[in-house]
This record gives sequence, C-alpha cells and structure tokens, in this order.
Amino acid sequence: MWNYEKRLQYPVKITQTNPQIAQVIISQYGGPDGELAASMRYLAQRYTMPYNSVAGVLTDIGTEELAHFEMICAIVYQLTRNLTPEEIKESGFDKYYVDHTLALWPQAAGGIPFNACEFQSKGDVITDLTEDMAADATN
Amino acid sequence: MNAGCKPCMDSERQKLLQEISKIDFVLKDLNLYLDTHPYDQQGMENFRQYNALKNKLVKDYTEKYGPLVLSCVDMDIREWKWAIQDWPWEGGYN
Repeated sequence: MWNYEKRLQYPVKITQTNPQIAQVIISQYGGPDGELAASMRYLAQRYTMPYNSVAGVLTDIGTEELAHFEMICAIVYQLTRNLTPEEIKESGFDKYYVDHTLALWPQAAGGIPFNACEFQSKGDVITDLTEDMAADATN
Repeated sequence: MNAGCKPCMDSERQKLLQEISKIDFVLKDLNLYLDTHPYDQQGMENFRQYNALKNKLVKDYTEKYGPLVLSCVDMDIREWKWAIQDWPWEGGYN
C-alpha cells in the first residue's frame, strides 16, 4: 500500500499561464514515454521479478514515478489556471477543453489517450529489464 | 494571464520544506542504492542518519505549519488541517 506526503518532490510555482506549452508538457503525464506509463510499467512488472532486490527497485522507482507525474500535473494545472475563453480559443487549447475543461486527463500531446500498450510486462527478467532501460532512456 | 498563484508562504516555512525535500531526495537515492546493495553498512548508516533528521524536521514542520504526512499529525484537535490547508499542486504551498 501507499502513504501520501503532502508536498511535491520538487516545488512547482508558475506565475504565467501558457496553454500552448501545457499541451506539449501533458505528454510527459499521459504520453508514450510519460511518467504514468513509467510508474505502471514498474509496478506491474515487479510481481514476477524473481529477485527480491530487483522487485524492491521496481517498487521504489514505480513509487517515485507517481511523484513525478504529480509534478507534471501540477505544471499543466498551473499553466492553464484561470484561462479566459479567448485564451482557450487562441491557444488551440479548445480541442482539449471541450472534453476535459481545465481538468487533468492523461493523454499524449497529440491527443492520444493514455494506453497500457505504451509498456510491456512479460514475466521474463531480461525482457522486462531491457524494456525498462529502453523506456527510461526516453523519459 | 497571471496563473493566480496562492500567496507564497513565508520564507522560514519555505526554507524548512526545502530542507525536508533535499533530505528526502538523499533518502530516495540511498533507498534505491540499498535495494541492490543490501549489505552496505555505510549506506545503511547514512540512511539511518538522514531518516532520523527527516523525521525530526517533519515533526517540526507539522507543529509549526500543519501535517505533511498522516502518521505525524498536528496536535490541534479543533480542525483537520490535512484537508483544510492547500494541496501542494496549488503552487503557494511549497
């Protein structure tokens, strides 16, 4: 199980909104190489990891990735806070807004929803760790 | 447009939280290192020291400003600060 610490791993304090940048950064939340995929990958793979120490690493990194997507979400949230209808239309954020308003929803920058097909969990040590290395080289 | 950040908290509070974050980062790295080096005496000793320091600072922070973790609750029985105070993603909190 998990416990929550009521702080971000690193503070996020954005003073100027920017919905255009938010639409790009959201990929690091729900995109193919995002933190959500990273966390789910490690936390899924750990059950069949035959070595306790490696299952420990997967558990602890998978946990840390949760704190990472919390920071990404805070960035997107603060970049899009209190937008006016004009700002939403002009920035192209309207295509996201129509479905989610200013709420956080895991998707890639191109609008593709978060999908478990972004990662693998195969129950083979070499396969899973190789997949982890390939993934973490990009996120 | 202004992102509407909540007023930033006082610098002493910010400094304490920053110290907690720094120590926790050390602990996280030691945690991952020890997962694959579970017999490293120096690593375990470092973890023990920084963990004690973090627990002390979290306790100080909780007493002064409110809870960071539910396992270290504040002594105020008039209100449930955990839910009343801002959440960290609001920006002003940390």
